[in-house]
Amino acid sequence: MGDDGAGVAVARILRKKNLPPSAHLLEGEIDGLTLLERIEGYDRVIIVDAAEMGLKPGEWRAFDAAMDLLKINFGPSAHQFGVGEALILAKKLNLYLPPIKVYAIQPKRIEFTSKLQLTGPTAKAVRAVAQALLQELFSQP
Amino acid sequence: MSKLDINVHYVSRVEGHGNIVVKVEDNQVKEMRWEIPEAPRFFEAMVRGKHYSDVVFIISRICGICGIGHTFSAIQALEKALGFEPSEQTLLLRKLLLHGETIQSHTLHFGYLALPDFFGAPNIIPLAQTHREQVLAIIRLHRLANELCDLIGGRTTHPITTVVGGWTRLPTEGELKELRRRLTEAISDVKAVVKLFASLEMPQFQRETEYIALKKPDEYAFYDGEIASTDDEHTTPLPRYQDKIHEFIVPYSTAKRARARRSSYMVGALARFNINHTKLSPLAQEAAEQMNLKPVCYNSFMNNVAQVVEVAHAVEDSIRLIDVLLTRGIKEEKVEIKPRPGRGVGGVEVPRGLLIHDYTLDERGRVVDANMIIPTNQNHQNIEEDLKAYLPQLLGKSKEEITLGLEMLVRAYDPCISCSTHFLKVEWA
Repeated sequence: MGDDGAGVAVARILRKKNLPPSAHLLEGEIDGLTLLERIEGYDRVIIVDAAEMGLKPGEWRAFDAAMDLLKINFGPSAHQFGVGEALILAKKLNLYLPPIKVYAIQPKRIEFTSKLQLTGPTAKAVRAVAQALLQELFSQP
Repeated sequence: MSKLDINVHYVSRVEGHGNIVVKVEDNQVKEMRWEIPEAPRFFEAMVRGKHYSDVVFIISRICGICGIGHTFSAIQALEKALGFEPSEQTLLLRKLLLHGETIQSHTLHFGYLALPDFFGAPNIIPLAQTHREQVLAIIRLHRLANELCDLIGGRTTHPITTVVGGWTRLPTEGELKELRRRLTEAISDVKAVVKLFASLEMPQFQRETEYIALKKPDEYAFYDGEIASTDDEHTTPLPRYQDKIHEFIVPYSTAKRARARRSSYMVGALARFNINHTKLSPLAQEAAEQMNLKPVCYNSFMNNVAQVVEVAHAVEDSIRLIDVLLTRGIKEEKVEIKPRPGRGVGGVEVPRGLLIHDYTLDERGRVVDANMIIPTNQNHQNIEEDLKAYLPQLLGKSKEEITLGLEMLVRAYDPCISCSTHFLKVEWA
């Protein structure tokens, strides 16, 4: 993975920390449909992923997954059926979704590599997002 | 039509990147190409020098959809190279896990990628309102398949319990009973999907084609078998696959292609159905009849329908496999494997077709040579020949209709393009 592995990279930093017992970490190259299956039963969900936002490589944003922010994009997606499509589908089907927050990192380079290889700006963003997440996880009741 | 230029850059709703290039002048097709621009991924080179115990975890990463199939094709090849015979319990569990991948992959394809075309929809989302119950059935089937893969393979994608010799974790009898209950419940969802597909109008297209798939005397072959062809009276043993399958390269594509008796052939669900239909489960036979799929079917669009038939088979056969496992009882098995030099060839029917892995090991059990024959590689030439044959039928239509028709034909194959760009031989200066 290139910078599309940003979410996995954040997960690996968090895995080394002592997270609150109520926080479960799910790391992996799963598509949006599988994600929908995984989030059932949780009170809230945080998704961390690389996302094309038209920003400079390495910039990141945190936002609530309101439908108007997640565009349908059935073009080439590293996950084939992306997060945006899956959440919109769930909404159209009137399936219950917990509150979802997205930490999105603008990638510089997406490619298939034999191991996780982040570009410099993305690696910096990964550390910043991990830090922000830890603050959020430990500040919530 | 005096002049037509179509260049579909990155066909949508397929795995990976492929382009369709068409040039028509005065109703004559001047150019028709199916191009694969994806970068080579070097897996055959990557595994050289690696110990056999590491190979399965590397090569499962060839694909995020058919990682289980790659794992089993590799394990089969490595076990044969090492002279190891897996136990009946191991084989039953492997077949069960392979069914999980088939259900998962086929459901994703026919449900989310192919189905929207038949309703003039850009994606599945509009169908959430017009066909809510059927979309929910598709979601439930996909979810069940994922959970089957989690239970037996240890993870939804890229299994971790599957090793040369057997398993790092066995399911409990309680877990299998629960899975059996869920599979039995899923039969109504399968029937709902069959009813939906029976109502669809498939594009009319026929081109006599050679179909190739694994065949076994006593089951619908997914795990192991001999190579069968609709053009051959006899099967070819897997170690002699190169007598049958001949790979070649074209200059405008990074993925290899293959031919057998003719200039191209097809693998996948339709090929398996055409060759092995008598071995389908009762539910699958009924599904085929309901959806008007009869052998030998030469309409590549019906590959979508053949996938629905195979999901019916996989669900019903999974129940049978669990019943056999529960009757035998799940037992921990001690396995001893000693490295030795040797060559082994493994063959598995993954969702998209026949997958072959061929490894040669040295005396320490390290790979000295590797070759992989990927289903989508085998289909690329047939896709292009189908496109060439289908295009004249479409020429009276608008450019948008022609483009959609060609894209639908490519989608019907369910190509896995990232898998197909797995190779490169590098000669260092």
